[in-house]
Amino acid sequence: MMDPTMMSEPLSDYKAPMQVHFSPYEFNGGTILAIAGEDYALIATDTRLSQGFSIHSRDSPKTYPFFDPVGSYEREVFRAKGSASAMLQPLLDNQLGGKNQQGYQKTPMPLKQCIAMVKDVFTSAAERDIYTGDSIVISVVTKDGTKSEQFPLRKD
Amino acid sequence: MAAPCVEPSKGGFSFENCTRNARLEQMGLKFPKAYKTGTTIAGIIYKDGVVLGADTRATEDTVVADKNCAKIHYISDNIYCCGAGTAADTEMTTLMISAQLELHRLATGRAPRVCTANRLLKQMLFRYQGYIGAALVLGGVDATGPNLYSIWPHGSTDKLPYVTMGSGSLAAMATFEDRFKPNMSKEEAMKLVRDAIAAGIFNDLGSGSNVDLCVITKDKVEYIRPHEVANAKGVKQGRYLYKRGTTAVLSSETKKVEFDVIGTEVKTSAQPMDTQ
Repeated sequence: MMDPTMMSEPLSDYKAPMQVHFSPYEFNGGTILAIAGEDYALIATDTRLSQGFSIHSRDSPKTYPFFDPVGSYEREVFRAKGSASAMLQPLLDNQLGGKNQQGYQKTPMPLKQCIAMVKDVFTSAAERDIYTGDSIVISVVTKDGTKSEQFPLRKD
Repeated sequence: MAAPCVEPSKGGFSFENCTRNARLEQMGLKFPKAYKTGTTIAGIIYKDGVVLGADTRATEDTVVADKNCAKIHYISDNIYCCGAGTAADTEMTTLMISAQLELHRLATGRAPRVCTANRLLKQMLFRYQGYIGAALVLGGVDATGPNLYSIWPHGSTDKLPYVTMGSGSLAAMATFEDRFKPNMSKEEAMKLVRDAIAAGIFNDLGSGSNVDLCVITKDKVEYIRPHEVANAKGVKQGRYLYKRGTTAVLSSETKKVEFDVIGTEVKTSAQPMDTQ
């Protein structure tokens, strides 16, 4: 007797009707980064909003005031997310986490040095990631309140 | 009765691997991807010749693979060609046609014409049915004067006074449509092509870095690379030096190397040695 599964196999050139859905989601690029220092918390984002090969906005920061926690979360000391996260995270692991270094002594990073490092990692990411550029907004939260500064990146 | 015989191979292309590859892809095999130069290239005819322009970014998906690649290729002493699309294809097609044209020049004893280069390129691209991913802007000056063509991967061509190609072609063409006029001066023409390429560099994510130009006239070629560094690299804020011994030494061995002194020389160095 013929194998019944053979019967259900469609001809190689036959394709079943395909159902097409409307997808409301778009990838808009962009990179974000947050660091918890000893007496400060720092959050930085680039300001480029893009779609495909086009730039929608060169000045659209991705930091928002906090409402309610949504989704899953984990407490961390430093983390990069977004299109260039794979370029930022290894440098943070090295500079803040002391990974892959012999005889490394962990010392808390002063805010000024931390801001300089954040500018540098974004400058480097903008060199190689097409979705990161234009500028970054760095927001620093301390016991005295929140301060923001903008820093230019390459615009191509 | 005629004996059954196997038809001898007549040459030509074998497409048997196409069905095999399609089947393998269906089964989930990932094929390697080629570099695509998401690009802005453009050219215009002006009073005394042609101006070709190109950006210098090469991308591999969303990552910049090369920040300063050359997209204006040599065809002959009086003809150059900008390439967009698959980097290897633009590189090799222009190289092959350049070689064919050189043989043609030697055989005829005349400087090659742009229309000849165009015909060779389009016939090659048409033969490969679009599988050679080369989108070209071909320009040069020959016995008939300045000539400019755009050539598509499937082999169709346009002969126009101003053309653009690549992912930034819309941004560049918008600039040309706004400001192109016939019989421009060299300075006007160079400025217009620069602005067209810059429009691609800043508004198309597939294009970036610098502007390269090539100005071809009856008896002179100026290949200007870079014409403008449109995007300077950012300046480092911090210092990232490591303490000596950060990299673990797993084992070490000291050996004496036998040598003979052949000669000695005393040199004074103007700069102190960097010991950092």
